Amino acid sequence: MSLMGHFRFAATLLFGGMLAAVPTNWLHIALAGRTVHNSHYLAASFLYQLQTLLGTDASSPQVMQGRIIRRQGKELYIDLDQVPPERAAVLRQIAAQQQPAGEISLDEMGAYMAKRYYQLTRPYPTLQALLRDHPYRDNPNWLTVPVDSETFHRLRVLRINKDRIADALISYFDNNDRLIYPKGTVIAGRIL
Amino acid sequence: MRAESFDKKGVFIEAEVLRKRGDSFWDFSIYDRNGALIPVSVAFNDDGEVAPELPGFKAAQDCASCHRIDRLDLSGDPEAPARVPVRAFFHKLPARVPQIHLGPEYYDHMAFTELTESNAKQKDGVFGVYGSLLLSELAGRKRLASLTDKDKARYNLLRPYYPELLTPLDRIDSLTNSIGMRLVRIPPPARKITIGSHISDPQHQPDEQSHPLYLRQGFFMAMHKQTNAEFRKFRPGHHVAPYRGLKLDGDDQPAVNVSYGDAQAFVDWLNQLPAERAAGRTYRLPTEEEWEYAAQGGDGRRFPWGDQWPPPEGAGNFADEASGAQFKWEYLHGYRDPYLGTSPVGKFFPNPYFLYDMAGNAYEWTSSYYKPYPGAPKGSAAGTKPYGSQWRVLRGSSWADELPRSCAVRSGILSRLKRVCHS
Repeated sequence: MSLMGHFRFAATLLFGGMLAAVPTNWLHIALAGRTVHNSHYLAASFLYQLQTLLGTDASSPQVMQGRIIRRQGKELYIDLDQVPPERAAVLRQIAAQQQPAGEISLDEMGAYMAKRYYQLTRPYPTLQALLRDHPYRDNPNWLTVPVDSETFHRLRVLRINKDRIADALISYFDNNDRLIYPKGTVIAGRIL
Repeated sequence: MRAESFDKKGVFIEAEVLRKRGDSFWDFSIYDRNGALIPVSVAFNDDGEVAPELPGFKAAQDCASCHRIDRLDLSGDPEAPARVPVRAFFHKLPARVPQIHLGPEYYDHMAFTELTESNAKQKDGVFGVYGSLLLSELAGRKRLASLTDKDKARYNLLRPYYPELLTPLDRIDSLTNSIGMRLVRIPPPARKITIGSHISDPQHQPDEQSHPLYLRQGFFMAMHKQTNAEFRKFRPGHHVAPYRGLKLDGDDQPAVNVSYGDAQAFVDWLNQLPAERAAGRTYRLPTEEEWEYAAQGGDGRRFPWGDQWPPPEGAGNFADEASGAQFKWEYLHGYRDPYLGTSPVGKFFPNPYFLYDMAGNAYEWTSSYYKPYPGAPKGSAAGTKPYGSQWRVLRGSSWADELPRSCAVRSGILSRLKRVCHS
């Protein structure tokens, strides 16, 4: 028993040493309410908003590349040295909204992005403008897919331009067997 | 992602749209009833009613969680569910647009996590499924000879890349007889099959309980319903009077107003044709068990088009909204097809055996007489008619049905002498 206790003590020390080694320029991402099954979704939501904040073009810093996101154990961090200085300042500002200031939460990020999302993503300003470029209603050139989802409690018919799917199917093999839709592809539909 | 939303009265509420952006992620935008951008969507309650008290979906946060989980999963949680093996994307072409059903019970469930991840590994998030669905639709419409010019161009464009999926119809195991009827081979089942409806089927009758069936031999079955033109080769005077102004007598429409005796006489005539005798072919009406097995397409599906309810677009010719408006009778809400009466045969998606119109258009006679299934409790006859060979079993459903029947239930029992415009 005594020997086992010593090993356990030693292991705790080692783990504690790892946590202490987090650099000061790493911003901890706090995902409140995280469980085994939902951590993927919460992390995805945060990282999507972070990517949107960093830029939405192909030339923008890529969240999943360039060591922007660091991981220790279960925890995720933003390495502020890997993002442009002005964006790092914005992230510190977001993190400072609530205590602790050295931690950026999903709620903080969501509150910040809710006010700026459309400004950053530049969608069509009106539905009429969208429809002029993407006339998805009752259009045989758009694939219709009925989706029965309890999420919305109603049957939906989703629509996507067949030519955009064909583009993705043709480039499927060049994309390492992944179906990647081209930039500008729109998915729309209606609830029945 | 929810797309355009309407309230229960069909009034447009808002539109939700996704657009692919340059860094390969998707943007989400929501427009209100006036077409202006709004940050949060309208919420619905469990009854599908607009529920202002419930939280809507936030464009910036909520949509990405599911749709981009594949490329955004860095949680590294060592306790996360084990990943399932990745199945080949194009392993099997679906014969019909499959049901996509994601219930709320899945969101925190391992199976849903696994499904999303395995899907996403190969495709552009959960949207990757549209690739196989487009190929499925093009292949299906090619077989129906209903490709639009633009679809034809897409088919020709994609065929060199996916030759094994865009298979020409000629590769179906079929034969064409001397009067031009095309018959497809229905293989024997690999194992014991179950015939009859489950008690949970809304159209289940007490004497139609499911039971095992050993079907040891395959058979050929007509790809299409017999047309008026084919029937007139046997009976040149065959003529179907219009029904409330609807023409039912076209050459390519199914032969209706045909009694069981008429159908059997047609079979007898076919068996006497010299060319058929020389070819060694013998014809008969299918038993209701054979019909049911064939309708299920080899995978035990509930309906010829799949398991989905209500039926998807292109599933069959039923009493649709236009039919209800025209005739003031019950109709299938939310469903539209281009025909009020019977449609020309083969205008809807076939089942996996390439049998057309197994749901809708017109009932089909079987050789089976009206009897209870094995094990049915005594006194469980569904209707007022007594069991016996004077009644024959109909299968399938018709252009005037607002509730298409599943593969496993009887459509009706009709006197062998009776003729109706549905069968």
